[in-house]
Amino acid sequence: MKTLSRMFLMAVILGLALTVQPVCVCAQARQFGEYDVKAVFMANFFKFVEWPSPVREYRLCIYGSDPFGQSVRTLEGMKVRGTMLEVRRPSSLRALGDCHVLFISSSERRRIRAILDAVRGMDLLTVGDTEGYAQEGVMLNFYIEASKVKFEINLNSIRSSRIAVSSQLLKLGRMVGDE
Amino acid sequence: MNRNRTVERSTDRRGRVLLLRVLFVVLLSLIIAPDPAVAEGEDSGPSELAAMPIEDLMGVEVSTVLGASRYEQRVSDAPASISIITSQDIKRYGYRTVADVLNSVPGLYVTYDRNYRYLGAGGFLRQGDYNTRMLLLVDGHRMNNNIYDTAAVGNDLILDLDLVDRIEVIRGPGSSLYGSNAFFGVINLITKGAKHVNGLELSAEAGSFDANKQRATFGRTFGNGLEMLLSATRYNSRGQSLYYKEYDSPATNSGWSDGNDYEGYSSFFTNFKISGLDVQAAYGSRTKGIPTGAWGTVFNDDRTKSTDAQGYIDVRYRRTFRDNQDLSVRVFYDYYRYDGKYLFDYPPLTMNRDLAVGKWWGTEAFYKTRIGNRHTVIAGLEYRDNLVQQQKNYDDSPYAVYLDDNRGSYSVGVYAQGEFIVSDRVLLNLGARYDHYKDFSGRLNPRAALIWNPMEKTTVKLIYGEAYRIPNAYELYYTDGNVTQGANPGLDPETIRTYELVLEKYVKDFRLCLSGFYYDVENLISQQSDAAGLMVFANTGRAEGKGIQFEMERKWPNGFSGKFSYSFQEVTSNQDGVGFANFPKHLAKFNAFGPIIRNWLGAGLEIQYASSQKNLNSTSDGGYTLVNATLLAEKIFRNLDLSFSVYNVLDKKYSNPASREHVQSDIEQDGRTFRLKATYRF
Repeated sequence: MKTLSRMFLMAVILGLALTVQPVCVCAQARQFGEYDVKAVFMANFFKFVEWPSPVREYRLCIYGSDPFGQSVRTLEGMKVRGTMLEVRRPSSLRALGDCHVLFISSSERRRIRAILDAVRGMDLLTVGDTEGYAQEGVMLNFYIEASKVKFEINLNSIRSSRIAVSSQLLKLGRMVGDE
Repeated sequence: MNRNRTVERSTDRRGRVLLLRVLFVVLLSLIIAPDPAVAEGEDSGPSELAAMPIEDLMGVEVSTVLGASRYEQRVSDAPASISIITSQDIKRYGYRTVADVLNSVPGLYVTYDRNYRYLGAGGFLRQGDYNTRMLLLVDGHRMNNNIYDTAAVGNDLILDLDLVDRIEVIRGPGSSLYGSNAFFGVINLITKGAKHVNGLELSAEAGSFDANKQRATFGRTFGNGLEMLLSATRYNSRGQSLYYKEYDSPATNSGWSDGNDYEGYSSFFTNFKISGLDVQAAYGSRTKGIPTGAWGTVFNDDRTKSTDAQGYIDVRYRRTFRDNQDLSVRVFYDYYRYDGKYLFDYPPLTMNRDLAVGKWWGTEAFYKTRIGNRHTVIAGLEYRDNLVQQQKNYDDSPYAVYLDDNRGSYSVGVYAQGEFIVSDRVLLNLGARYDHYKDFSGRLNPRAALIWNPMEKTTVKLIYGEAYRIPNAYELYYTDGNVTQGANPGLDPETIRTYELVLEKYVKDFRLCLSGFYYDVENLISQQSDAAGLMVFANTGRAEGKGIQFEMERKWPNGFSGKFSYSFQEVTSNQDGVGFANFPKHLAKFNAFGPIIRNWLGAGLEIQYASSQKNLNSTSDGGYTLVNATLLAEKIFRNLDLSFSVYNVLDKKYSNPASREHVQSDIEQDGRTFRLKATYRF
């Protein structure tokens, strides 16, 4: 019992130690949550894309069940190239017209073709993070390799839309074709 | 005596009930606790990331695992409870060997008898067992040898820890993918590629007892895509003078073993990669003096020592086609040699030799595809041919052979695993592997995992798995001419069934993990005394283990990080509990790192607690707490890394239970030691 109580004491002290916020503000490399990284990637995409009509406010839409949660909160109200960024979670396909970047969640796997058909002609940059989405026609699709977030690009989908994606972004991704 | 035992048992039970209650409350609060960031409306997101240019984002690491399904997947999707240790942790906490790393992993425990390091998991650690129940992989290449099944985790591992990028510890049975040996878990070491090194890197270390290590590594990526890595390491340590009260008589140097704790190794590693082709070759040899007088050898004589050498060549070709199909083929050749020199006084003084030579080659094919954009399916085939499995025991002069056993064997394994998406929040992972070994009937080992995300950043895993282990050549055929040890070619494989429940939750910058397991081992292979008093390996029956584990990890945006884990584990068997007592029931581990000056000077602190363990005489040691500390300066004078580590800072006197070959019941471990390390990149 002695060792047990000693151990509990230690557990409590060490557990508490973790809840205290240390006071030193210095940058250091660390691991991030997967969706924290993907969210910032999407904010970055706005820098490399030109839409056919002038944009007053950038809108990032998340369609389907939201895997980001907290991760997109810091993006809200952020300025990209001097333009405000707004995050929306439209619930119907008709509401997608206002979006500039559309993230299609993996929950929409079964409806992906219907969604892509519905948004054709809406001038959206479609983004996903589900294996196979790029082959289905999603423009940029995240995947993970060697613990790092990367993305594949369906160039046919981009070319058949009216948006222009900078070659700077294209050279960072991996090209895939339609299935 | 009897009364004492009852009292001990009842306090134990009370403690357990208390523990279960605490853990139940924690579990419940974890599930229902709202995300505090949401509740407080506070910004805790990726503000640090937001400032990063896209090129830097491409280099940010997220948490994935390769070894759990043989392909890269999110830790939260993997059908197992997983711990990952990165090269950054290795630097920050001054880890010297894989054994050091594993001692920091929740629920794992490594002991040392001044010859080898012994790894225990799930409360299970058998005396005289050379880590046969954990599968050790280097980039997917099986490292357990074909004589003793050893998973080397000390300096006898031929891979320098400095070359390791990540260590994945995958708990639970892995036989559904890997076959034999993946009994309690799989440890996958992922090496650094040429990209990590890029140029010449020189490293030198100096530590207590004249320990010194030098390493030279060269890495380069060529214009045609060729990635090349070459590395060589050499290590030497004089060791310490050790006192053993069991030998305290004038005839045996009053119990002092002087100059027999030496250790030395050298190792080479090379890796070439070009468009899908990956060639790896490694070789290493390590010699350790045996200072303990084990097996009744002459005490305090430096001629008694063990040398383990191992090497392999592994050629892999990987191709992705039609974007969703992966095919890889692997061919490997492995070599292992053990040379044990034991000085006995029969009389006269005679050098007895144990020689083991293992050579094997094998091939593997692996296929991964996606079905209907929803499900990931893999299948594989593995063939292994043990060309040489030789064990020899003889006296040098006069020459007398006690054992000269030459064997050969083969095995074939077929496996498949599917990850099925049942709904948005539910994944089902099903897998099985069928193995056929020469001389043993075939066996199918299944694994099933239900992975449920009841809410954002919360994962619940329910896992059932079976695994087995084929008796190795040493257990089957080794004998020293029936003097102390006999052979038992009639051994059967041992099997295990495991149930696990894992709950993982991310709250703000915290990661919390709570898990519990229960397992049941049948036909356990363990060393017994037969009617004639001879030690033989036998299938001795059953063992049951259960445990619970809590882990909390936090990474602050300002560079501080910390983790704490507690685990309770208990194993019972039908054999009087002998041999099961040497794993502490309670383990607690704490690690913290913080920057001191900007991002170039930092300090790592490690505290490890192990509760009382019993040795073979059923004596308890009362438990111990160890503190290790490291000061790390990175990128000073351009490319110089310096670190200074102190191990066992409090100079705590503690011991590990000894196995049967020792007169000692416990082997005392190192007191306070230090290491200074410098690494420069050109």
